[in-house]
Amino acid sequence: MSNAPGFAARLHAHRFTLFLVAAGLFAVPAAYLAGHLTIETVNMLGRYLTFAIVAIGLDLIWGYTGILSLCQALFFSLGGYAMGMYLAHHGGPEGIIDANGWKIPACLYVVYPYAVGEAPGDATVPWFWKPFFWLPLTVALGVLIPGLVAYLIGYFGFKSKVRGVYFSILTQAITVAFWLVFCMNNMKLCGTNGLTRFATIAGFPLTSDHVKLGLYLTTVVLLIASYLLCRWLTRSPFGRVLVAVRDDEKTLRFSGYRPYHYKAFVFTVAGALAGLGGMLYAPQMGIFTPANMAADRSILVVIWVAVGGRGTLSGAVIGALGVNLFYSFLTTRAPEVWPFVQGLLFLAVVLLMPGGVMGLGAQLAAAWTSLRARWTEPAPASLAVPGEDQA
Amino acid sequence: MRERIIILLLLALTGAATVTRAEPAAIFPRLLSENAADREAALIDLARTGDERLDPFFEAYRVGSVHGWNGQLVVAESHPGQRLVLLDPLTSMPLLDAESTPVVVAKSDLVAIKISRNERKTVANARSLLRLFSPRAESRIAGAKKCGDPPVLVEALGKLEDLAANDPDRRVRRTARESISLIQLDQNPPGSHAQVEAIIALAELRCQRAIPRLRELLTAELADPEARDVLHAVATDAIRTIERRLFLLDRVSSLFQGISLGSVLILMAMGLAITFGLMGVINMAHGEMMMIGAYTTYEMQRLFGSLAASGVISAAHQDVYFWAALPAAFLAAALAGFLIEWLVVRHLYKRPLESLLATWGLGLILIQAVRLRYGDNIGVNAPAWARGGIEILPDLTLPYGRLFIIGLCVVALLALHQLIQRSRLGLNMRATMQNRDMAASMGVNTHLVDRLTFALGSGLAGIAGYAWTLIGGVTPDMGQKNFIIDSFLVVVTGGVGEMVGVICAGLGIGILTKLIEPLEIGGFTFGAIWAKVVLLIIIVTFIQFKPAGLFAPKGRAADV
Repeated sequence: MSNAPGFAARLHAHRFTLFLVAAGLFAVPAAYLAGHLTIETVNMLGRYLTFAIVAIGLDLIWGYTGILSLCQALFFSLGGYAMGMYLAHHGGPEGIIDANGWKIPACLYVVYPYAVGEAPGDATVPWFWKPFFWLPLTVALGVLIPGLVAYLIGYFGFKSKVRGVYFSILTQAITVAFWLVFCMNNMKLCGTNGLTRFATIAGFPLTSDHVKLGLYLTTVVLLIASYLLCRWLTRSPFGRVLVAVRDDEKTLRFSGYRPYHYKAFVFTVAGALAGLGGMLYAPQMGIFTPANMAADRSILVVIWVAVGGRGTLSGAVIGALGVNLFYSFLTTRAPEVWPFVQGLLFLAVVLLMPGGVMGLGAQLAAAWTSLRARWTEPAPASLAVPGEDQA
Repeated sequence: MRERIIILLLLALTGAATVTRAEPAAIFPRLLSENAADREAALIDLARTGDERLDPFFEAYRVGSVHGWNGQLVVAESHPGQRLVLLDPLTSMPLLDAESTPVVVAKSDLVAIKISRNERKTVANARSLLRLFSPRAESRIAGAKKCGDPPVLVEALGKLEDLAANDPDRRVRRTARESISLIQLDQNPPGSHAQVEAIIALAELRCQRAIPRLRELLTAELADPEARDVLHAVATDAIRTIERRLFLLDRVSSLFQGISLGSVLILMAMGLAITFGLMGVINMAHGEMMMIGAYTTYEMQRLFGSLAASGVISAAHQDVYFWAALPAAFLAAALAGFLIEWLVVRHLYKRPLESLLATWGLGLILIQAVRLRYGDNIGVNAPAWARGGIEILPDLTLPYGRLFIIGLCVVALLALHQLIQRSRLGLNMRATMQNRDMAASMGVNTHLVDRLTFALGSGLAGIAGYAWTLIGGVTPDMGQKNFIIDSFLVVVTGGVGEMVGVICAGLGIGILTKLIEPLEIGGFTFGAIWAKVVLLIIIVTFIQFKPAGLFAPKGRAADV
């Protein structure tokens, strides 16, 4: 970056932010108000944008720092459960009060041996449900809890130099363990049914179109904020250390840095962002089940980023949106085909376009150059493998 | 009623030994009696004849298809046109008239026997009693067990004592002895001398079935406080003795289950460890190789089933499928591995993270393909021999299926060891693993070595899937859901490229899982899920101290 960039240059540098603002904050609401988009579509876009927030976080640790985390869905779900508990507190049938004066959320009845509305007896609201009664506290905890869990995983993992695939497998194992625990009925987290019977958020009914639009707009604003935060992080000196971790951690360590601090920090940021995504997802989905933290969901996040182009924050957003829109397009027509498509996406993106959509231009240009070189030089020394030297 | 039974009992005790067994046919007319008590006595007497053919008759009697016809006892079976065909009660063959055609009558020709609720119970008792006479030891054991379970069958006491003393099978003698003591426990008044004797006998037998009834006795109120104290002391002591034994047996059987689970894990992890050590590639589709092994076993079962159905092989030889399935499972998975290496993995050397994603995608495709073809759940029937087990101690049976798995794992590991240490391929494998470039420049075809190694590892996973059909369910996502992560944890804990590490870690994880599962601390039982969580915590803690696993490669190769 030059010292005094001109206005046009700054606009150009922020073109993706501008695109998000223009499309997300103006074009989509305008299309909705003009009647070209249904509120369901806006709601769906809102949900996919929460995925984009998660994808940005993953890109930060995978694309920039080189750590493949397979537990983003866990952090997403921790945030989602936090918000889900808040919504359950303020949801479904009124008037079931436990011995301590707390209203028992309707979905908890799944794990209690009573029918909804029956005399609660010794059924009480568990202690860990109580902090999530207040929205500000819920919002704080929905970011802090995933952040803290991420920090602990990161600290212990990176301190003992668990690297590469080992770390990926470890995070996946942790996700599976959490998932199993969240599925248990006696954990009082509503088992596999998940958190249900949401009705209001901050006093507004979730079924109202205006609230749905509001949630969508909130998501867009927070997505832009997350994008800018990560953009700032990656362009700062801190971001250069992250790239150094990715490209040559050993040299970095010998230069006097302690990489695990950086890794743990960036992992925490990614975890908190995923938690934010989950918090925004729960009210827009209207239900939150442990299926959201199953092992394959985390890998799905990876494929969003990979398709979009790892190492580019805008790619993460585009990938998350693109893959999910494609998914919703396909599942309405031929749901049994989706696993094949998903599998092929994994294979294609790894084998054929390692740079993702964002790297496609460069890849095509490289292919064109090598083709032309082959044309002019009859005996090529070696075949250029696309993306082989891509980090 | 009670007197009648006691009289019968006395008759049985004195008569059984001296009088030759009565013929069922001689007893049948007594069932035509109007008096329910007479009929019940006749039923018990019928059972005492020990005629095996009576079992279907008892069932017919229970459901009410036994009737009187011209003063003769018959089983009536429905026949087209509201009519009934008559069967001989003992042989179940149709009754024939003078012209040798089956007798068919209207319902009105028959005299129904009205069965009371009490009589139904008696029929059930009679069937248990009948089983005591069975020539098959398993059947006698089941019958003897039933006689001692509440409500106890006092009428069986005579035969049980006979079995306890004379049966050739050790297990039958023991079960009979248990049931005799249980009947005595039930029949004698609380606190009586005879009952206390029975309790002591049960404690000596370490009889598991006695525990709930001894617990009941602890709550019994007795008029005589002294007798009550004696009863309590004896019963408490007996419960403790029996429970201590049960605890021990539980641990032993958990250990055994752990070893067999560990064997499957080792077979799975071995392939992963080899390919990761050799090529720096993570194969997330390894679980699907296991699945392919399991489904190949299923296909072999179907093939042999249809061969038997078309008469090519006899039905008795159907279980041969299991032996044929072993090489089939290995080869099918190995072939799949070979293709995967050729199509995908060879482009991903030394890029473990990318290989992880690509092979995960491959796994998704394989799972969905199998799901579309076979549905969500299929049943592989273990061969008949694998369903039994060796009873090494009373109440402790080691299933043949699990023993087979352990044996299979040992054999496979020995073969693998021989292959790696002794064969040309093994030599090339080790050379490539140590220094790929050097090996290549010495003329080793490293690409071929990679491909064969990958196929070998996949084949081992196929064998693991084959073995798993003996003890677990077969679903399209069995590998992805239950095994891939666990086997990676085995590799992580054991260290890459060392067979010993994988074996130790596999056994350790298998055994720990099964030992933690039944663990109970202060009323909280761990169960499968918390066992997994605890195990994961143990592994994460372990990695803190030994980041490269139990048997880390040393020296230059250490930091790959």
